[in-house]
Amino acid sequence: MDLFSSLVMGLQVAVTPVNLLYCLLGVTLGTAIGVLPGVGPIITISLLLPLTFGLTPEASIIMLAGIFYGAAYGGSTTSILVNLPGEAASAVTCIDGHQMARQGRAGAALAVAALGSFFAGTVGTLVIALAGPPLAGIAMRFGAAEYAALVFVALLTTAAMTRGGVVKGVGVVLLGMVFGTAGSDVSTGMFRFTFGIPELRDGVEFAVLAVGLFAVAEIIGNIGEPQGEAVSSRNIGRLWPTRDDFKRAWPAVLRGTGLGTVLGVLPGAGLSMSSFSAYMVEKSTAKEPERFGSGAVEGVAAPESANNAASQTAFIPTLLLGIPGSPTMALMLGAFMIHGVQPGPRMMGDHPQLFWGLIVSMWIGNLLLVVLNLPLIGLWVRLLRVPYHWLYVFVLAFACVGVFTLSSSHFDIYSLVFFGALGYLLKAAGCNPALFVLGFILGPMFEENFRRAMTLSRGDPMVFLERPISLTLLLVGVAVLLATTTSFVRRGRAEAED
Amino acid sequence: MTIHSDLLAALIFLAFGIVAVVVGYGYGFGTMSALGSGAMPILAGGGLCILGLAQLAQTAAARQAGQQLVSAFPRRELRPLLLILAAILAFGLLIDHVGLLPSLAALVGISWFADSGGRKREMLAVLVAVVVLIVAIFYFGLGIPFRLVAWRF
Repeated sequence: MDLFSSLVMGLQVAVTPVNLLYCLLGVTLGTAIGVLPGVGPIITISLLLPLTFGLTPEASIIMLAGIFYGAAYGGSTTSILVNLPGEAASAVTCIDGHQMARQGRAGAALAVAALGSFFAGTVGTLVIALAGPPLAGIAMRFGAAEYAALVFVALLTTAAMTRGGVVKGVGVVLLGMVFGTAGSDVSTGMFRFTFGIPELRDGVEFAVLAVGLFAVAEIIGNIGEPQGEAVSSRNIGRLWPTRDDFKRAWPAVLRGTGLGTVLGVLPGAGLSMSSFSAYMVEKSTAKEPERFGSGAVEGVAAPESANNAASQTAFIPTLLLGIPGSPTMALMLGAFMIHGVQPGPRMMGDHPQLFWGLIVSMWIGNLLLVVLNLPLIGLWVRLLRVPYHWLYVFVLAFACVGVFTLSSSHFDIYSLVFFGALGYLLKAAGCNPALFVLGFILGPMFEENFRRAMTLSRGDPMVFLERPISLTLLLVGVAVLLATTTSFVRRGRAEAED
Repeated sequence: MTIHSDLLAALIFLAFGIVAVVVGYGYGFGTMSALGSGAMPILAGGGLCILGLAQLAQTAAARQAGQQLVSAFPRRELRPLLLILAAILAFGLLIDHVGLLPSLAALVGISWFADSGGRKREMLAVLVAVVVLIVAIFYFGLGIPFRLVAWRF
């Protein structure tokens, strides 16, 4: 089937009125929750996850894609308006975006971010559609050893990329992997770590774990923290960027899109690396680099486009290999699996409607953001001004009721307490709970393929070095590890934190 | 002795690592060509133990060097920690017995005091808003058959 007819098929799935409605609902809810102060994309997605449970697979995945983009857009909004990045990837937008907001040009900054993201999203969608079929063909040839090596490399590079050091990063991933083994063992049927609790036989409920680690732990940490400075809706300024803004922004959007598209595919590095390096590229190629840091529109356009292009192409490893490149993607993958969709090289062949429907609705989600959500900016700003001591009560109630609806079991609520406490402890220990989720999702995949590879090689671990694809993957992993522990990314990150 | 973040990380890794190895050992490691159910827990848990020990050594070195160590548990976070977790626990204990509305009231009533900023009169307004929104979204919007008020023990 050629590209065009695939996209048309996707369009037919995505634009049925019901699915369009769910996409819109997802985008709007994602933005509404994502702009709340102290609520980043990961929390937004995990909070809204239970809402998608009752829908058909197509509708729920389309709604999730909407939530994903809405949450990312909400994150950029808080970065620009109150200087609070929801996740590392939008930290760099704060630098110039917030300066623009303080100069009364928040509207222009938000519009540039949204338009740049839309352009980047369009390119990213095309890249997925073009690269998908051939890549799935290559991935079909992957054996157990290759998969195990790939997961291993993805986990290692992500752990190394995170702040807080390699020891803590790898440790949290391993911790997540241990939790991932709970429940019945696929190969032997033995119940592991169930401690006689029947609810644990199917393993730890992913949605509960996500809500506890992110939403609950985040609330505990945020109470009593000083809030970012609020921007009143009066000084948003005009929404439409000036001609000068356009002239400066579009080359930056192009460069950012290019960088993000390429970097997004890399496991582990993707999102934050793309926005940081896009910012660095803009700054180092600019004619007047001194404008950066005091409200340069390129400083918003480039990282936001890069970020969005990368979050689009990050679906390539997630959907085609079943290997999420970032914690947010791990969350999406977990959500897909809850709906009985196993992403991987077979997804395109087995569920073509779902695959192409998702691709097209990601694009539609981007479009809806620009057309519908940008004019609603006044509403989002009002949400931003809700005092935190009202907000957290609502988020908590939403989390508890949402988790309870999963299986109407109070055991899930007690698990929520456990994972809330664990998330708090991990944060207090300087460990990133997002890596825990990555280990939890990828752990079982690693275990299954590792065991199968070892069986096939009759117990010889050299199999991972003898097979060319596996060896290449491991070498790439080592290279990324060396590269990230050195210059470029560290520098960009340090700069953004100043 | 203050528990600072590096020491806390070491303790978490060691605690879960030891449990994983010990419990995993009971599941059986198997052989290299037929790894058993316990192999993964033992490997991951063993890794956790090694990292925990490494972190512990690093901490000890830092202590020797006389570095100023900040506690991982600031006093002001203790109150939110306990009250938020207590609020969720109360919700879980009540939901089956008294229905959604009283459980939500307990959740809001306990968690409200996690932050010292709010006044009591505001609490009622927030409670009403929370109940209206939750019932609108989950009960009417998603049609989940909650018992709004119940009495069964």
